[in-house]
Amino acid sequence: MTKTILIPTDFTVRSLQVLSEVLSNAPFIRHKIILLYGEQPSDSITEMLFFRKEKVIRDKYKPEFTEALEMIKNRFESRIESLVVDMISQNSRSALVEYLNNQGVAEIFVHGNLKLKTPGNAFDFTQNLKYCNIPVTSVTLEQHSFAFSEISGNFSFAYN
Amino acid sequence: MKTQTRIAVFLITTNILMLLLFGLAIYYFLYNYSYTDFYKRLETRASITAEYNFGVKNKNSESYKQIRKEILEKLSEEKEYIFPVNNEKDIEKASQKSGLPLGFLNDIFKNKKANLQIDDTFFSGIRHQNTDAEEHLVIVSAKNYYASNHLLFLRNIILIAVLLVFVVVSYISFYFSKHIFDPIKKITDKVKEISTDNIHLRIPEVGNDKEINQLVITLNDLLNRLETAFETQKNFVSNASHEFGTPLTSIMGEAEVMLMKKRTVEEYEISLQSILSQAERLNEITQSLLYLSYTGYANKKGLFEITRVDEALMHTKEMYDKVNPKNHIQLDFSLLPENPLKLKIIGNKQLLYLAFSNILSNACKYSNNKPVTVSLASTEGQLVIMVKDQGIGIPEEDLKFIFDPFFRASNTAHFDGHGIGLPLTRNIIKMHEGQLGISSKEGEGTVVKITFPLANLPLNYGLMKS
Repeated sequence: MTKTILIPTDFTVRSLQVLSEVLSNAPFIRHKIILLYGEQPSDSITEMLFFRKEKVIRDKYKPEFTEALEMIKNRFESRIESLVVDMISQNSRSALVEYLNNQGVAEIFVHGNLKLKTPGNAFDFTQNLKYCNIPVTSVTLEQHSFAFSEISGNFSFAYN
Repeated sequence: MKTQTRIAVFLITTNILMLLLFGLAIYYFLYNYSYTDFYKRLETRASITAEYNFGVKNKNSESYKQIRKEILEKLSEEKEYIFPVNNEKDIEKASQKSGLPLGFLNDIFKNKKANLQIDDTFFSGIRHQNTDAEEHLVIVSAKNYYASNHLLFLRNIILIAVLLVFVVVSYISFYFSKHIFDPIKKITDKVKEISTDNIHLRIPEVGNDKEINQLVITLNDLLNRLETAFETQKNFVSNASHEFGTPLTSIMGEAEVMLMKKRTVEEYEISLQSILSQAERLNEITQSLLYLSYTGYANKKGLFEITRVDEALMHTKEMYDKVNPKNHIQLDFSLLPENPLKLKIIGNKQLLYLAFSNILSNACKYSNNKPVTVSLASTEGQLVIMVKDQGIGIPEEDLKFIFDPFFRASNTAHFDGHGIGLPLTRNIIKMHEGQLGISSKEGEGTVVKITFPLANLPLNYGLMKS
């Protein structure tokens, strides 16, 4: 059985904890996962001209985010059919509904008590999700995986 | 040759060469052009001469002559020749009469026009047929004043210009090459000042010269490391003598007290017990030092094989449970990868046990057996181990020294230890091409992050074996 799920992300390790939690509670299901990020493109004409979704997303990756994402992929290899990080560039209800329908999203998981970080042109589209007629599940995190919260810590390395 | 001179010579040669090429090209092309142009002018004059001599109508010939005189500039030693020719004989006659070469006249007759240069004098001739169908050779000759004088003048100008530029370029090049090395000379002088006594001195950064600043930063970086190394060495000697000194002093004290007077057998036994434990401590330190120096040399690699890290961790925990049954070590496998290949590294099991047990025992020791969590996860190419304790932490100012042998953080006075464990662990992890990172807050706890590169195994590795 395959299920397409969507999790809003702001490229922090914290937002990946939701994914880890969802996957650990759903054995025997293969997931098509979409990590969705919202950012409005810049108004500048030159930036619009060279706007590429892939590049915007790639620039957002931080080492700790990549590391945590790879850890999750390895941990739940059998439960992940595919994992894509995508972005929408319009903060409107209709655009979101359109996107979700196109992707065939079956369920949305959001972080129970945390809001997405929205630096720069990024926006938090989570409040629009409840109008989309797709079940939205709020995930409360247990302190089960401390490793995540520590990945982004400031390590002084013995040698490099 | 000094680099300075080399730069100057290079600059001068390239500049002068380019200038010379430029001058020569100008001279050459102008020279060629002036000749073509001059022949053209002579030819025009020849046709005008023909026109007014055998002109269309006699009326016009006078005005032609007038116009030519008034408008066309008189060339130097300009001469006109007109020969009526109807056959070869006439040409020979004309040649004898005028002294012009026969070949030239033949050329004109055959090709309708021809050019010739004798010394400074240029000849241009055309074959003309008048209204009565009589053939004439019309030749105009003149000296090319422009070529002989103007070009000479141009040549002199170019030569003088090259000379002048040579002088200026030489001066600038030498000045430039002399001063471009000024900042480097300054740095050299500054570095010479720094010795072991004042190794804290640093080289000041200069203006906005990016390359030179890069050099300064690199040198300062090197000095920083040297200073740390010196510091480490000093620490090592003082700490090592302290570590060796303490048990030795107590052994000597114990023995001296015992030897003061006759003692009972029980007293001797107690004393010898104490001496033995101190000697054991000494032996332990020596053993660890030996291990440290053994792992310090990468070439003594020993047996490296494919090792499952989760098994190694569990084994270490079992061993440590025997040594310290009160520990609260939790192995957190919530992020354990599904694929066992992602848990395998190339490593030496004994050394890995040693490294892990050092980290675990530190975590338990400095937290008085509070819970310690060990997590294991793997990324694309790396295996990550995190060990988190709730211990006393490491003061920030001590953090950069904790990998130095015999160094002990300032808040560890109440804990037993001799400061070899962590450097040893670091050496072992380094042998495995891994990384050891420590993040700590004093009073809150410490997180140790160890990463190892995963063994590069084929996907069907397990299947092949079975």
